[in-house]
Amino acid sequence: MRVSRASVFGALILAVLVLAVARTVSAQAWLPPKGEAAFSLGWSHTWADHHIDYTGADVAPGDMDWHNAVSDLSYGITDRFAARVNIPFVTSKYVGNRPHPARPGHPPIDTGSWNSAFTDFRAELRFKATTGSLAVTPLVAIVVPSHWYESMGHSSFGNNSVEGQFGVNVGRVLDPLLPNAYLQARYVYAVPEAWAGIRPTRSNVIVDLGYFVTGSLTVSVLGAYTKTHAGWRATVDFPPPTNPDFYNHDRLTRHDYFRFGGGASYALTGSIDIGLNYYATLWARSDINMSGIALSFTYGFSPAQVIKRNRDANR
Amino acid sequence: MTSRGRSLLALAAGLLVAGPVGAVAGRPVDIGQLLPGFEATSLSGETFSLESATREHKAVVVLFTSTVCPYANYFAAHVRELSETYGPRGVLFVGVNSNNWESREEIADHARERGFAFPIIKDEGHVIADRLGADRTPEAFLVDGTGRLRYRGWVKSKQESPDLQHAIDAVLEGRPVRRPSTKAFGCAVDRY
Repeated sequence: MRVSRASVFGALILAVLVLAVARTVSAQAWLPPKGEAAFSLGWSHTWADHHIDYTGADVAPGDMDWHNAVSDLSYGITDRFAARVNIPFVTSKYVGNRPHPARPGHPPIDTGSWNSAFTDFRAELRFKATTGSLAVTPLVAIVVPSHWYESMGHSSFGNNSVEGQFGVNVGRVLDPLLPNAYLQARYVYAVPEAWAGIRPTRSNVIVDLGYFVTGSLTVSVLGAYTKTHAGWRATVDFPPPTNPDFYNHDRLTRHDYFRFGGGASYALTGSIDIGLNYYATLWARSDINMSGIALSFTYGFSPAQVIKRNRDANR
Repeated sequence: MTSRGRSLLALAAGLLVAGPVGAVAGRPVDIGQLLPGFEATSLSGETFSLESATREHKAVVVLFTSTVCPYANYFAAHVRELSETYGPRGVLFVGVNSNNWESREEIADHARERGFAFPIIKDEGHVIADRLGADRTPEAFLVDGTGRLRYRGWVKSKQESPDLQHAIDAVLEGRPVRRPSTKAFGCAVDRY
């Protein structure tokens, strides 16, 4: 098997999960009230057939596909403080003639077959710092791998790396400037675990402009920009395969990109929302040209009401 | 109370519901149509008639609410502010609690805690909810002085767009309501 430098930077799917999960629970700048819970199931299909190196040049190593199923639970601890946990289950496949070599002692994943794994638990706390029409909601989050999984490969599941995240959501309805519309933005600074003495911190900005078409239907456009502040440029900075750090090159790649998409959410009932979103890569360096489609189902409920109803019904 | 007792109470409450003009019980009323009238005794012991209230006010907000629903409680302060702001301008708020398992005492205590100075009705047997087609707490029905439905839906959106307030402003100013129907979210009106 020939392994060239042009073939060995794999996919980082964290960005995809951020997009997919962000759309499963809308309105991140606004919190669920005290006692309100929401359970979401999200599914996304993401695909790519090109890598883009640090100069912007295209490399076409083959076809990559990921199917991500994300379960997400959020809860309002108080009216201004909410918690959220989620975990993705990823199924992925690479078909091409430039697979990654297998990590010593582990089977290869770029075999042309589907691979599946739970990836990273993510827990997030949000605090709504304002009470007026401008919602300012700082957040802290931690990402912890659920188990050891392969982080290197065109069809890798994720970074298999502990990560802290700090950020803020800002949101506002645009009435009267643009009636029936809202704008929210999210900035997150991610501090991942260091590998090979390098900690590839990154900044991620997501901007979401939504419009209420009807009382049930909301459409939105979404842009996501990520800038990685440290790490290796693809592929000039990658070590040779004989270097043990070669196997960290996917998690240490300096990914920069801008992805853009749009979608719609529809309130089926007062407690069930469904959402459909599409996004594509418009610009990237040391990354891949991924596109994706995501479907989400969200059920909101009040545990306190359920408990009280059942308790009183049994009296 | 036994289930038979509850049924009799529901039947009695149902008999209090005044027949609306051109309305069909249980079927959602279209915007611009007459909202089905109802008559009931509030927790303070006074008789409330929607038909009379609309004649005597520029607008009436019928708000389905709950003592334990998170969204109903979250928007309670906003509802109180609206009632205090628009009360002097001829808008009457009336709260309706249709959950079978919430007692009159709990509802009265909750109204005191939240500072609700407007009439609160315990909708025994969820007769009013059925008649208006109410599905959620909180869910607002805004009728103008002629008894016609001008807005139905959430108090505020999840992004806290104050659409009920916008609708009240429109009715008071004689304008069309920009978004007259929204999908109320929150807890289900519990008919069990």
